[in-house]
Amino acid sequence: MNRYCTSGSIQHWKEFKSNIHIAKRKFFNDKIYKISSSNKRPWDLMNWVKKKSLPTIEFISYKDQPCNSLLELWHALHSLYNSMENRPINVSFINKQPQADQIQWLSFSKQEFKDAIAKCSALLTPGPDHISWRHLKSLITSDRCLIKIMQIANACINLEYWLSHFKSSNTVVIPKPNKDSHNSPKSFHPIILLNTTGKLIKKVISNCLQFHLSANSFLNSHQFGSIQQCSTTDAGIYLTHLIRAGWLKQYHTSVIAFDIAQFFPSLNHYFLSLCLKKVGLNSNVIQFFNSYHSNHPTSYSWNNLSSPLFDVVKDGMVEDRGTE
Amino acid sequence: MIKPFDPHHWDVNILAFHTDQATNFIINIYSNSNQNALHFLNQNIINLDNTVVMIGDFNIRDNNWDPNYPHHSIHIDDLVTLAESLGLELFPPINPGPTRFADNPHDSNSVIDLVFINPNNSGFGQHTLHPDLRKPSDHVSLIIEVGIKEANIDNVIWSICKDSKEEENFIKAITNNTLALNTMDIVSKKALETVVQHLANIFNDAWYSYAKRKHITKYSKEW
Repeated sequence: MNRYCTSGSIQHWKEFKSNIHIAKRKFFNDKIYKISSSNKRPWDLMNWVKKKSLPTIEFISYKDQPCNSLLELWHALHSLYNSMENRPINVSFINKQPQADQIQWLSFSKQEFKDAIAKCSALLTPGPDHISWRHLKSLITSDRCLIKIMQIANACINLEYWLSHFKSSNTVVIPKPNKDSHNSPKSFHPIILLNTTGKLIKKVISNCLQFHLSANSFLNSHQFGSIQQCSTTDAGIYLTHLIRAGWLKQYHTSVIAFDIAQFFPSLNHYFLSLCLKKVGLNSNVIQFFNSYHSNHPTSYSWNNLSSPLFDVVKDGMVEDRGTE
Repeated sequence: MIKPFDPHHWDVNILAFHTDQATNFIINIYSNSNQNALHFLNQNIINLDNTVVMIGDFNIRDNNWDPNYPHHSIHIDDLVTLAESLGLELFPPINPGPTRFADNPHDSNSVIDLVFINPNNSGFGQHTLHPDLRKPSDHVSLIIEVGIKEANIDNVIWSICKDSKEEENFIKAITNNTLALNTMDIVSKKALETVVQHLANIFNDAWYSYAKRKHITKYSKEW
């Protein structure tokens, strides 16, 4: 640019433009490479400035009834996303499983918190407390602050209690992509925004739980989803192995792929607590999970509209039945 | 939201629009000579309380709105019942005249396209007939003036810019106040709730001290 300013030559101007072009391309290529190789979040390439508007040209109907008022819309969303509440289950087969020895649940360490937060993207939308992962990362750079959060987390396990502040959430409803029509709540997708401090403690607990289950061989070796050090590639390799093994025996392999609708909302928490007892977790941790699974108030957000608080009582028998 | 009210009655369209306070409806009707649409609506009205206008081709000739027609229709009771149940009143045009021109020169033109509005709604201006706009249609255009008031739509977010002075102060505030928090003696659920409530207050106070209001404008990018 300096050379062009002094000479005024068109050649220098072209060089300047060419250099800008190369520098821009290099910058964006580096950024794309970094995003595709490190955090694998291609949407980070876009600016998220304005909220994505929901389609407003269609009538939402639920169970063949039109939602003619906002209250009906909130009830339709709430009923759909919690459609598995209070479904009866048969848990008799779990009693046939062997009872594992009790596992010692240790107090949390600073490193566990640091490891858990290191993987969290600073760009994720914060919950009702407005605290982003970026803020929380800065907060826990102070060891004394980290110890305070650790003490809260340890107290939660010791007192068998998950706090109401960490349970309250905002459920943002966004349209599912590639749908011809958005006239049913099923065409939308709830994203639950929780308070970030609670999410950090949950992540640490989740890592501890996975470690215990993995170290004591309670995880099925064929489970690849949500398991550390297991990826889609592992699932693919396992499938390839089955197919090749079949070829050796002159067999044809058939694969059935299916999707379980409403899988996570369908999980029965009473059944989960029985499983946790079977794998040897102590009563503190089991009671903590019972408290964790009960009464989650949430408000739904639809465009700029917000619903009143809805209480999500997941299979309410959990606390009443205990863990006999 | 335009959608047939029922797949078997394609002659009732309901447009719903939401405000922060309520959901309002505009109903457009084509009722055939058997008055299927009227019968259907009279039997199936569900939560259409905030209907602001009902408009359409009712195929009902009656002396009440057509002085050139000396008779009363047997279907008028159905129409009046429907309008009353929705809290609507007939809204006559300022230039009365036929709304449908007969195909056959021996038949007379008729008034069968009607407008009903909520009398408590002050937003309506005049209702006029525009035979000049009908072009190839045998029906006249009905035009109702609706007042649109300027209103501020509150599209405001609170945010703290990344790497800004505000963010630095915000982090400093939450760090200093968290350090002052006593987490040593949590021996009961109540004490735990109190400590976490203090932590929530620390975050909340710091947020509203340093966050800035930002308006989302039409120039903001969608994601």
